[in-house]
Amino acid sequence: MNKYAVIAGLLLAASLAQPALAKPKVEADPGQQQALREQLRQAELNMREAREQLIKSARDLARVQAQLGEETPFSRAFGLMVDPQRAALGVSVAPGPLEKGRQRGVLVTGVTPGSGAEKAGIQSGDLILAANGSSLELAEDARPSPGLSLRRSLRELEPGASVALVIERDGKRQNLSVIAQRQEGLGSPDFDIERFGRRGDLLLPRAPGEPFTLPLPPPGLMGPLGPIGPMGQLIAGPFGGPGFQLAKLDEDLAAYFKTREGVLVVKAPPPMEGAPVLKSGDVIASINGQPVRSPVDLLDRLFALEPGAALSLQVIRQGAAINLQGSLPEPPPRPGRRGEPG
Amino acid sequence: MKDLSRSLQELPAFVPPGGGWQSLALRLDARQRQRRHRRQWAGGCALAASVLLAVVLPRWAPSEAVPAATPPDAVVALMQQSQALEQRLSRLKADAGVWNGALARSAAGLQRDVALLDVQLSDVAFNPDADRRAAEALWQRRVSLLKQLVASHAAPTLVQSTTPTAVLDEDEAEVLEL
Repeated sequence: MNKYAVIAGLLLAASLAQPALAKPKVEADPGQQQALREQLRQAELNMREAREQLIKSARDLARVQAQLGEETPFSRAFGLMVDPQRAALGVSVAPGPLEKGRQRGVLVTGVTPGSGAEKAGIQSGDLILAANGSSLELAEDARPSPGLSLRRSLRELEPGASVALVIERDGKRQNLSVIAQRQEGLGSPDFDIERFGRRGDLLLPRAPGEPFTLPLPPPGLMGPLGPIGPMGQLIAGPFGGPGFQLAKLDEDLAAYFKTREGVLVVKAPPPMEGAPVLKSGDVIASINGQPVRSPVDLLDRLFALEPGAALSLQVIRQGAAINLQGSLPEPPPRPGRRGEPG
Repeated sequence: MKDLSRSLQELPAFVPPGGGWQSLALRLDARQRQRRHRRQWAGGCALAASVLLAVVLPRWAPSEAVPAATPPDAVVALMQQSQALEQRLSRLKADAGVWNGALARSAAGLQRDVALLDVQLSDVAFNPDADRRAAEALWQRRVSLLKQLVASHAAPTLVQSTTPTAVLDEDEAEVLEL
């Protein structure tokens, strides 16, 4: 076909189509606008219910798979997501190399950002040779295999559990202690469930902005604290604003605040009952006894704490060192959710 | 697996080209301008093109879809990409001059999602019967999330509060620039 004829055809079709695609002008009177807003509100409520139904169905699927002893990657991931008593070290692992008929440990193929493993300094490519005193350098046909025994013990981890690891990096052994933690986001994730063969169900989180992501309902539908709850209000502001703002101490700021350690509170979060009250201009030196290395590190550590956890902050305020004690806020109980199975 | 272990351990530190983010931002600006221009034509062209394709495409299309062949080292390549992104993210986290609650909230969600993938990656890696496409799907998703995390840490800024936080605390509602 002549390409010019195609282009001409396209242009003709486009010119004909343009009026049809033009947005109709809606000049609704106040009564109609009110009705449309009510429709919009109802549609958003329906979307929220659909989202909750999806999560409930996924929970049921994961529970039944576990009851049948047919756990899949999906059911394990979902269990980690919904069970507040389950935590992880924050690594993905694979079988270590085979050398002279022995499987040499377990290879770290990924370190979860913000996890206990990242904070402990574990890196992708490290070889885990022992965990809590148990060697993972075993014969190839050992039962259970090193990887299986490691994963079994790690599956039972509770938040705050400490695991002593021996790793090998660049031919050198190191001892590291990793604290298991839950990695919480604010709100439940959107995800797909995809099946790759028998017992191959996967939970694949959707990246923000991907098509078909179910929207969060507007703040007016979410109760007094908005969609992010008290923890989110403490950190991110009550209505999705920037909230807590922090800056690193450069040389000039360090001289001004008379300290080199810690991070500067540029904008303090609003005071919350029970939580330590920070002020703009404070320098936070440590959180629960751990020195704060950077603004990102501080907020990563806050997110790693459980709701209601004790919080102790070493702060420099107007040149004086003070200790602020309190606890993180607890989320309010959700009506109608108590006693829900799973 | 020995080769994989070695290749991960020998992966050089990932260093982006100087001014990389600025040039990316310029390209994104240019792309947005192009996108705005294209959008004017998109509505009509889409309809016309769909009519055209409906008529012409069946003659060109093969009789059945052929799945794309996956190279055997596709997963290894994704793992190396993932490791390079982890290294970059680690440096950005340490170097970030400022950070705020909204960015932290977004990053926490992405990190939680990576954690969910990591549990499954370990499962799949130790299951000899696992479908190879499962590992690839998980690694692709992991790389995608890590890219978003790197982007969110690349140029954090302080933000002037225009939210009710400022209303609650008016004496601190000033422009926050250092």
